[in-house]
Amino acid sequence: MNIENTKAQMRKGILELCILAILKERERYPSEILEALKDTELIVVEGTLYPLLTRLKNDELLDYRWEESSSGPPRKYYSISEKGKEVLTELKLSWSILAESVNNLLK
Amino acid sequence: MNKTITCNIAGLVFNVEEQAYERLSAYLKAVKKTLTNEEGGEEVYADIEGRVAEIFTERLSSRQEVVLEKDVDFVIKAMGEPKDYVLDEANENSANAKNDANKAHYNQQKTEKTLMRDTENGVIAGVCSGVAAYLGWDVVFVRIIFLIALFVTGFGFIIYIVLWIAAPEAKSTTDRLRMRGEAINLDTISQEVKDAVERVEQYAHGTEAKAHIKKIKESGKKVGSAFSKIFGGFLAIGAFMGITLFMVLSLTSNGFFVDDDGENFVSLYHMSSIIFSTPTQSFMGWSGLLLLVLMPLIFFGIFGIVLLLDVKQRIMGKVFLGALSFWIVGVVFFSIVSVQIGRDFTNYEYVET
Repeated sequence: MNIENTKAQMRKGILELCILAILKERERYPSEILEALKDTELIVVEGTLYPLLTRLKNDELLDYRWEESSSGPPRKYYSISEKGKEVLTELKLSWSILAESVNNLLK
Repeated sequence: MNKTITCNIAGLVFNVEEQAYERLSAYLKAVKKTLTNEEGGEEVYADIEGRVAEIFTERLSSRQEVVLEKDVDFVIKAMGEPKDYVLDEANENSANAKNDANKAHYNQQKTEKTLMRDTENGVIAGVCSGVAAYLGWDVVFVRIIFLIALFVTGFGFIIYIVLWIAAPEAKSTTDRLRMRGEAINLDTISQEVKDAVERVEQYAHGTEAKAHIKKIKESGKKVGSAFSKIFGGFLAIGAFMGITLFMVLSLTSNGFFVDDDGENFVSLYHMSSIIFSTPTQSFMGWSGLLLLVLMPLIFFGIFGIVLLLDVKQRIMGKVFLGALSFWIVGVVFFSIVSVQIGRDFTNYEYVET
């Protein structure tokens, strides 16, 4: 069994929930999202984030707008959409149920 | 002193040191390739380029400063390996889409294998190498089978020509991956090979490319190396035993054929006067037989030695063609003589009855 792989799978599964939660606070651009995620040890490399954001955007869970940046190319600022908020509520619920039952199991 | 290359990343101009440029360009290419199969891949790639440009801008104190290899290393470390860009099924959020997506993903990973000619690793037209890739066998195996089919029955020759015409040449990296049935994404090993192949294609004229080719070949060879050496050893020994045996049988007086009295051993050579009626026939018969039997043996012997000593297998192409042409001469001689002798016997029989 590949432990690293299992860990990665665990992280990836809840990443979407976390991104939605982070963006519920306020709109951010990828580096800021990453900053917030790094403390949670959910993400190892930045590369994982970009495809995920694009997909969430294509699923209409996120909106984005361009903003000029003084240090480099224009940035994409992402914010959560109405649909995204609904999904977030649903995911939050299933996460708390999951977390509780798993924690019980591990006791 | 190092050369710098000016390049445009996400609309910004950067001066990049040559080596750093090569690494970065190989990295971005690999990322692009990985993303081609992903949904919204182009957009993701553009985002990534933007981020790379941003990181460089943050790290450089001024626009004039040159991007060095350590900056590229930093970017690669921060962004992750190309495989990290692939979202897998654990991320599929919609339950309905999950099954379909899983299937699609699965199919993607098992790209259908296509029979192609692997000219890069091939000796003549890359047919054996391509077949080996298709079947997932060691190429040495396939070559041996082809050679046996060729020398024993001659059938291998026809198959080879047919495949040469039928199978397309694997030209691009994608072709090469399809040939091996590998997905365009996947694990680091295939990624490594792919990157390397790409680098080679890109810098095919530079010395660095040569070093790369060597590296790839060496790493590839290592796997089959032990096997080839053992096999080569046996092959060489077998071939030389075969040659010796044939010589003993045919030329010395201690041959294995028993004469009419059942007492004295005679060799093929001594029997020749019985079989052949004219000197020309005798010459053709003998040289035909020699070529017919010795050429494959000599070829296998050389092939064995080449495998054993791990010399470049490429020279085998010429050796093979040489041996083959002599062998064909042998076949022709032998056929002519056989037909003549056959006719003699028919006549004889006809007179008897």
